[in-house]
Amino acid sequence: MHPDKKYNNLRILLLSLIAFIIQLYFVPMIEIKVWRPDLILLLIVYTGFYYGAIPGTLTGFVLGIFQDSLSPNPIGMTSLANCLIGFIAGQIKQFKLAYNAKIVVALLLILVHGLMFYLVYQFKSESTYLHLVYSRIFPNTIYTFSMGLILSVFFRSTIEEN
Amino acid sequence: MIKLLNFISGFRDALVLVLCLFLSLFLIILSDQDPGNPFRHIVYNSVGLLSGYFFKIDSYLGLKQEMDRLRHQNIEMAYKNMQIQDAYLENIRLRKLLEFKERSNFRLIAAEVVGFNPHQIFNGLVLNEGSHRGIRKMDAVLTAEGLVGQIVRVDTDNAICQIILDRNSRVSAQIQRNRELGVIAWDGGNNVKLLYVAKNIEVLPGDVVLTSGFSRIFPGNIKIGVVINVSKEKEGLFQDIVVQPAVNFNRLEEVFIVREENSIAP
Repeated sequence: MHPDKKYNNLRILLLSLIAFIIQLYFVPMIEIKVWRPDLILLLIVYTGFYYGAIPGTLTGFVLGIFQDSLSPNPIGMTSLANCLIGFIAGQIKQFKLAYNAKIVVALLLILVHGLMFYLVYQFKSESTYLHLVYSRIFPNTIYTFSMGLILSVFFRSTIEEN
Repeated sequence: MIKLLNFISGFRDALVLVLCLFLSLFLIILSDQDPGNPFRHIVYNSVGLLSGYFFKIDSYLGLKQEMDRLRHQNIEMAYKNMQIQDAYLENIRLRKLLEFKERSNFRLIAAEVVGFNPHQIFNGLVLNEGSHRGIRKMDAVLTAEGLVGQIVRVDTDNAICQIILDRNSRVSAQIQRNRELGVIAWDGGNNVKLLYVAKNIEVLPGDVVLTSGFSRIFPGNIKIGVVINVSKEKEGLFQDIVVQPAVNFNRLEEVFIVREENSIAP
């Protein structure tokens, strides 16, 4: 294995661990009503943008499995949406978009993730999909995107470098 | 062979995606058939271990044990106090002494909150005690302040508690002052609603709402919260009653799981 690639894997692992801990212990503290930012999703989008489709897909899959394991939902629900988003973000990497374009794409990916996740979830829920769209997907997308904008300030150099 | 490998490596990204999607779908189907997945057990234990490092800093010089003991004592006294208050009001209302026909013994199992559910669709807590301490599904969970929720999933060393601020949570409740019955459900925000209380019943802001005891999950007379708003719409049979939970769910560190041990008839 190329040493840079090995280093990349370690970096993804470390970032995943940090994101998971923050999501688990600190994000509930900034919850507004029932809406929470999804830092793990932001990490998956970042991994796809920066490292490519395979790391994005695998990171999404593994972190999704862990998220599902700590919830009463069937294991695989979150990983299904996560790995798709990681893959799409990785494919977009090839287009070498500008920083601002990447931000817009990230917003769309967060929205698509919500739409996909709740599309599966509605079969386990009493709510209609339309209700889930305006009560959960839109607010969560806005909140997650806002957090992403704040974090992008710190990661701007790496996002632009890519 | 090399040509085939080259052909496959051209679609490597898509193959990884298909594999992950296939595995996810497979796991979803598998989870539906077998809810007690051993993978969950491993994750719970890992989270519990991680939380140990995060939250046990305050165990310096045995202060943690002392605090735990006092908290345990506090919850027992708070629970007894609720029962005494209730008995006092009953005494005034009926003008004679009454004794409970049946009194149950409860064992309180202390558990630390080691995590909040990372999902946005289920409001729950991950607790660091499980079936090895005798915790079972549908055990009530409370703090010194009042009712927290119920256990919905148990593993050997961990459990998930569904809090009352969850869309699927329903608790049989009664107003302490006039003993009127209703059902507590989440209002979608930080409060709960007391449902099915008829319009002709007097309910006032400040009324204390307790568990009714008409449930196999929640023992009676545990404080749920205080009525903060009452409104009567022209249409409909029931009042809109908003109740502020007694428990601050943003600051939960330790909870107690109620195990009913036996019943003693006087």
